Amino acid sequence: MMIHIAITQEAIDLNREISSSFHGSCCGAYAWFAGVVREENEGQSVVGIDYECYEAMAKKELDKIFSEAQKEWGIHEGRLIHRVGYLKKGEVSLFVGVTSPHRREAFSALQYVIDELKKRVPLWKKEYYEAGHQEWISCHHGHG
Amino acid sequence: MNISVLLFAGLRERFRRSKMDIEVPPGATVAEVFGFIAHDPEEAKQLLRCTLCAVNQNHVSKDVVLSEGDELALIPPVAGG
Repeated sequence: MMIHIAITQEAIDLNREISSSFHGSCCGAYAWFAGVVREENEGQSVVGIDYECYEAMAKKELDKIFSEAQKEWGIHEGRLIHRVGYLKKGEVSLFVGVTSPHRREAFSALQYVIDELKKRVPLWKKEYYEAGHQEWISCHHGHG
Repeated sequence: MNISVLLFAGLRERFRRSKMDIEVPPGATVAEVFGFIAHDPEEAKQLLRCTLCAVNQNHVSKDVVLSEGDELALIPPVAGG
């Protein structure tokens, strides 16, 4: 399996990621997902999010997650780019893509990678609100 | 023995630093480190409850015994994506 994982401060160019990520005709399915900074969270207007990452461990965990997905659904390629630093609303924070011979496996693997990322990869986000305050967001507490 | 403690997100802000190099007794566990870095026992208990830990970039339970030179990361609730 070919895996590409990157944590970056640079803007994610979706067109580039989508068009240049995957190769070969062995796979009939290519599923991808992009996460975007939403302008609202729990009734509050969000102006931006500051993402923080423990990069060395995040890459290790993501590598494990893709290996698990490969075992379960036989994906051929996996690609994940997560942006860190301050992002304004509307900017892309995450790109994940997987290929597999058939669509069901691609969709399942994609869902798994995103869900596990949110549970156990050491990434954090602080939301900045229009009202002027900020808050660290707690989505999940991974397993110890 | 000497270990490094890495702090992230809310914990980094709380302790106003991203890394602490501290000395702990040989045979110290991950849980015992909280007693060394917290300002008081109550804070140590609260941190123990709501923080996960990784040693040298692998998730560990808090009863793991540390070794010289270990890098212990204290992981507040994560929120990627």
